[in-house]
Amino acid sequence: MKLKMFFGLLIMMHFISLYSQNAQSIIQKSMDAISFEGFEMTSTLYIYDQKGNSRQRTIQTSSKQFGDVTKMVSRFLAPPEVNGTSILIHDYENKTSDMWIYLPSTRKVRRIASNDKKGSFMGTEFSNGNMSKPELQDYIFKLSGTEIYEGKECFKLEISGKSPEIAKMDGFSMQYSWIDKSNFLNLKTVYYDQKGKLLKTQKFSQYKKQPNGKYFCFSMEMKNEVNGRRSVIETKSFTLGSGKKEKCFIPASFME
Amino acid sequence: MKKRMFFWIALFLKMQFPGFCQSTEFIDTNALTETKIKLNGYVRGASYFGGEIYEFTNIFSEVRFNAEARFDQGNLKADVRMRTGSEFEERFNDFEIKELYGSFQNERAHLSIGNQIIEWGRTDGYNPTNYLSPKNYFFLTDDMDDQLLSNFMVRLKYSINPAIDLDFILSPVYRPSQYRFDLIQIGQNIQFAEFAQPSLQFKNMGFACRLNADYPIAGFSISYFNGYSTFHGFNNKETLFEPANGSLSILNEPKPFRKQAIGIDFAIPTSFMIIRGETAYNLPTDKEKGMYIPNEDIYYVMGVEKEIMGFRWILQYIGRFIPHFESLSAPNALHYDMNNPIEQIKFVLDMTDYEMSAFNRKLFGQQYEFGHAVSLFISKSFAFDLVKAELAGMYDFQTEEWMLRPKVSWQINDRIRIGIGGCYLNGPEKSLFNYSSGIMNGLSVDFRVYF
Repeated sequence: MKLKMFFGLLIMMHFISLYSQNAQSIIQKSMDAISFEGFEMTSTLYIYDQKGNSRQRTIQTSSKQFGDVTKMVSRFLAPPEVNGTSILIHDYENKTSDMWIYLPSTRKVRRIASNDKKGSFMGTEFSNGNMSKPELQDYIFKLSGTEIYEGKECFKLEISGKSPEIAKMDGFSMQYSWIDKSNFLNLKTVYYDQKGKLLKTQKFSQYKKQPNGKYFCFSMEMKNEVNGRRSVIETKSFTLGSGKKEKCFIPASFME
Repeated sequence: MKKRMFFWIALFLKMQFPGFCQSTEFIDTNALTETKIKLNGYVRGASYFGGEIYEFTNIFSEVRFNAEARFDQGNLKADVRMRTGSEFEERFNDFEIKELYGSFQNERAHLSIGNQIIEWGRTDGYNPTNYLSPKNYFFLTDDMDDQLLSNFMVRLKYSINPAIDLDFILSPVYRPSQYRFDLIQIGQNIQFAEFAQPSLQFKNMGFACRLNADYPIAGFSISYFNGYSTFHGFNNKETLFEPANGSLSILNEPKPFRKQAIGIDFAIPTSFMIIRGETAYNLPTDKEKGMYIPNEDIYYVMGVEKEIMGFRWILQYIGRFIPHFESLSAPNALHYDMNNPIEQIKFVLDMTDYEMSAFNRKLFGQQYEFGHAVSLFISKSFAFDLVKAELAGMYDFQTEEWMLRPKVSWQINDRIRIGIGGCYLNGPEKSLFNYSSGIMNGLSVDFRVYF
């Protein structure tokens, strides 16, 4: 009897481990499906309040990989009040990103803290954490089943921070992602706050396959389920690869 | 006359930036290479009011045209501002070229020539290594950018590698910071002559260089400056004393001084906060020439920046050390024979020299061998970045002067912003803040429409 129980436990642990490994590999494949070594794009950020009033921000972004570091520079083109404001991010695989900001009014480049992941990105419903690559080692991934979303069979992944500190830093306790089984593209993510209440819903649409076989998402929407506000990022132009040299991704380049 | 001026400015802009009247961005297809020109700016109405001396310190409207053109190997920038209104109870119509320069760049070098504003230093608000760009301290608004003045400079920036660059700056024309001594009641019968502007000669040029590095672990720089300081004091040019009726008249002359300075700054991010620091050793030339030249000093700032409960906090310590400090002592009337008119005159002259020297030391922050002050800056955005609130404060432990500067701005929509701010200076009698509080204390309002 005891032996039976022992074998039963072993088999269960094996399945749990397999399931967990599966979730990890799904998220890895999902990230690989949208990863680029470099790109140039122009996007418009629409910020809608509860009454439907909107504000717009136009951003030009360049990104390129140099060794293990993905470097990204974003420059605001509109509205005029923020024109010229630029953000430089150096994203690493296993450590927190480095960030610099340039405000034309101060004529100085400032080093800024990059650990404020839950803070609003430029007044939108997207958080700063949504704008950079997640550090996979900080999260626990579980496959909670499969579901049909918008006619597509999807993996439903449960993602939570490995520690309460990570959850606190992100501003949510749990997230679920619907990942298309056929191409591993993330179609929807919902976020729950620290009390387990639905906080935000993020939808990804208009994925287009690029010449390198990877996909780029041309429209992203984040809706705040608590206050009804929503923000949309629409990419107007996208070019695979960036001809920019490394000197364009350094703080000093803002001044030129 | 005004109409004619506006016509010529419009014509100038139209000639320089064809299409200016139709569009804010266009591509000049006739150029040899594709040139993208952007034009933006704002129209604003602003006022600084509620002061002790002036009910309306200033009230004006302003238009700003900011044009930028980028092409393959360079760019040009023109920031032009036109304003009309009243300041210190005088009407004005100003045409200010805030910045106007062109630049050329290749793989490693970036050369820019023209009127530029160059701000150095990594600390906030107090920058010992910010040697180059003067300020107009008496243009009172809630936007610190208004006080920045450009100067004609030749700048060559050379990139040693992606993280390190070398900056060389030549400043042929000296432009001082603007102080309105005439507005401050230092004492009765004290007049100020015209500023003693150095002539345009090679020997009067300024030179600066800076080696700057930005690594993920830290950013830092080392800099050197040799030239006229943007700060300046004044010399006692003439003192007239009539022993018969005791009348006294003093004429001071604002005068610049040359200095050499070497400085460093750094910013180190940690997982908890960002640590910033900056220091400069200032060595003025020919100190013995007059009271308008400060002592050599070491000026240093150390600060930390941290986000706490959604507020951004920047706390800084501001210090100054004067290595060869000698305190000033007021002449003692008992040491003079006051029945002798010559001795009376000598006493008055010595007293004048003492008072004026003491005031110069206040201007340079050199009243004590060691200066100690703290500053705090708190800011937060509300309502999804539509409302921004800031509070800046400073307290000087030595002089017991303090300052508060609150500001709230509301972005009504993408094109309209309103800002309300204020400034309050306080200090003991005869302190610099006490002298200037009558002018500088007040409230500000700023309404802008961007295009």
